[in-house]
Amino acid sequence: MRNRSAPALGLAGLLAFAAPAFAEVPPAAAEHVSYAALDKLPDWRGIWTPLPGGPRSGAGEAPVFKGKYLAVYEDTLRRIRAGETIKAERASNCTPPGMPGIMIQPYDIEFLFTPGRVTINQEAYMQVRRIFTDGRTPVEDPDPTYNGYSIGHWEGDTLVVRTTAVKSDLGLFRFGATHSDKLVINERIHLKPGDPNVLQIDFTFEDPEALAQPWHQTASFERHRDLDQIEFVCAENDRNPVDANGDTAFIETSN
Amino acid sequence: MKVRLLAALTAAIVAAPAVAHHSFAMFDMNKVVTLKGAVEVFKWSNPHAWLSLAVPNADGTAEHWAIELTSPNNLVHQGWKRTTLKPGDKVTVMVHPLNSGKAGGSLYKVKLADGTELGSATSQDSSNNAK
Repeated sequence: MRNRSAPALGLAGLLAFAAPAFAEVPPAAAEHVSYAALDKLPDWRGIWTPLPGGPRSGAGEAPVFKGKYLAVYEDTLRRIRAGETIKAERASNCTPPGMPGIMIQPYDIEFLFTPGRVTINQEAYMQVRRIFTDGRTPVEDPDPTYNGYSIGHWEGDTLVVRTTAVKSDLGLFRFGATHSDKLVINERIHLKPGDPNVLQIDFTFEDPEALAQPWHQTASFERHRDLDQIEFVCAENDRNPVDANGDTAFIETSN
Repeated sequence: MKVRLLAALTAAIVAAPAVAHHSFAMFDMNKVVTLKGAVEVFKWSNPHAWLSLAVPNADGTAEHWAIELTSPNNLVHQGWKRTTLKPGDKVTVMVHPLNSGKAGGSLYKVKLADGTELGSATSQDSSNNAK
């Protein structure tokens, strides 16, 4: 009896799990789509390597935090000025940065256009970011993830993206710059006027709980049509585990 | 001018590290140790290429140094190949040593037997200049 009921329960469980898949199919995944609209999109082919400066250097507008987020930021700056090493608060050095850090890694990115969707591949850790441009209805209360939930649309040759549901323990470009689960990351991604081999991402961060005013940053990239992305499996030879104190170890064994 | 310099310094310290993997806090980045030895192992792997170097002691034994490089993804833009170092190659290696005092470090530069010098810049910011 027990053996007979087990498969039945299993099937019921499977059906319950599968049920959300029968929800409305988003336009980008429709059975029939047109590729014709892609011809009108700008040429962003090749891979894009980060240019010096911008968010990675700490340059540009400073964020204006408020409340407990301001306290964390100021305390972190105080500790840095006192010579303290700020530890990366993550369980593994192979954990990806998530948004917005994924966009300013010291590795290249590439863009793939398919109907109703732009995909960004980040070479470091082979990360993938999906930006839905199919006019879908945003998911209600999506689970927070590393890269968040990105909805975009084209304004001429500029890709305008709004990202929400980013995990709130990842940070914003700078040491001590943290955010709430109300964070909205707006991006305007476009070629630099007059220089089609430079791509710019203009970020505007909004967070009613953490930021006293919107924070603007711009990252720039240089095009290389002659290169392809290279595989990057972080676990392959990760000799730098993080210990219980948050310190990074260095394993010396030679094999 | 003074204000501008202060602003630049402030910017430099608040920026999160421009490395994809781990920070360099474990190494003494102000110090360079020069090692002459023979390649034991060279791993062309992520997140770091890896070199084990046998450095002969005066008494005939060898000290085994564990040396990490940046990723192959960055190294290929700085003249490296997976075949650049092979077991048995006699090389001169300059490293930023571990703060712990153990025989390990982060590769700063290598001089091959034919005199070729190669570095290991940690980001594509610097490798872009070579392209």
